[in-house]
Amino acid sequence: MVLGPIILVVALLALITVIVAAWYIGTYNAFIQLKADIPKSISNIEVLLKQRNDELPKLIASVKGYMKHEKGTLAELTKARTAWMRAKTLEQKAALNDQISSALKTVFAVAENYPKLEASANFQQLQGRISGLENEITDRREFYNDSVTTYNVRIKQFPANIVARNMGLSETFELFKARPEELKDVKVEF
Amino acid sequence: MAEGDGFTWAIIGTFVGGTWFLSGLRTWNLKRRIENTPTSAIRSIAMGLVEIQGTVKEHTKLLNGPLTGKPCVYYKYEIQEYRQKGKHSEWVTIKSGEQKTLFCVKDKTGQVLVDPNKADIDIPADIDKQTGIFKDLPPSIKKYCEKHIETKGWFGIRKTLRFVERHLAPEDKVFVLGTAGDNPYKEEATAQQSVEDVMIQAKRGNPFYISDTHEKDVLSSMTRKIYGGLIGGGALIIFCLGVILSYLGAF
Repeated sequence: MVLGPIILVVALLALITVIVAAWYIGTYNAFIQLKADIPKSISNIEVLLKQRNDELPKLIASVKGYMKHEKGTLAELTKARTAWMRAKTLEQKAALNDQISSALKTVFAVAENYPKLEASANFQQLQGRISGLENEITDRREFYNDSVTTYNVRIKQFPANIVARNMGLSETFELFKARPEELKDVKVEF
Repeated sequence: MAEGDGFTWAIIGTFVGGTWFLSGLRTWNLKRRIENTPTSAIRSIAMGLVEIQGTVKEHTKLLNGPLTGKPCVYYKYEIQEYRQKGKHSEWVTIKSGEQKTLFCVKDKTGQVLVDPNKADIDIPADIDKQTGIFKDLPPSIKKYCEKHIETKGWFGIRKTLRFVERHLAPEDKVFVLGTAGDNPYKEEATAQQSVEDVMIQAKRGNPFYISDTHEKDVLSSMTRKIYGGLIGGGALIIFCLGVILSYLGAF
């Protein structure tokens, strides 16, 4: 019997098997990594949200002496912060975060009407810190959305969906969406 | 070529094919990590594996590319000489070196420190010159040769040399996949922005890859390497195995 061709065919099949196995293991591990990245991204947002929200009482304390006519906005800010601390789900937190961001935009815009407040070093420092945190929160929201989109697309894509099905991954994650009113400019009453 | 030579070459070829094949698998794994890691804005980098894109900025010092003389944060060079021994001829490396220093990557949101030690730095050659009997040397290489190597052989005839340098210079575009960790060069609690306290570095188990091309180009280049490694390496293994088997009389 001629062994040569048989050995070559076996070697070829072994190489193909190695490639298929590498693809399967790689895809399996990638799904585990992608899924683990999502709660990590949420935690990374929450760290910043907490830092931002910790600055709010200081901000309110520094502006309330000046903004006597903006009590409603400040009350809304305090209420949203308290509600955020009690919120359990990502959806609730996202909605409350949008409320806080929107109220903050109003506070900073209205502050322009109070030159003494604007000139205060404490206010300037807080405004800088909070605006910086707001920007970082926006970046991390985008990052979270990118992670979620990658995961949601990969588990549906062929042939990776075969591995996803074997792993029982069918549930997609919600994006961290901005509310429609967030997309509009803040209206400031003078 | 003696009969035994073919057998030896086939064994060597099998190992070379195996190495290509494994390299293809490794590149495939790295490509997947890059594809699955979203790009972070530098100002909001979180600790752990991150992917960033931006331009190179110097940190505290710059190096000078030995062959180009260009200020840079990383360089790697190699000088080869074409030598003939009887019927055989080959390129022999007569000098080579690599050096790197800390640098920053800047995007529109901020900048972050990168320690390129242990990074897989994948950049194309910035200079690749070959000289010969009738070919002259570029001035920067001439200057280097005057100090470091002999370019003339017997009877003053110019040697055939090849000079290759790759470097990462300030303002070059850069793509980094690495681990964001604590910045040991920044005193705790002195950072104005949180990203100042972060440094991209190597971490066991995480890839650390630096390239001076855009992510899209990095991925296309990797795709070519994967196909080359898996198909080319696989084909070489099968071919060499066939040669070995024929030597062993299996056909």
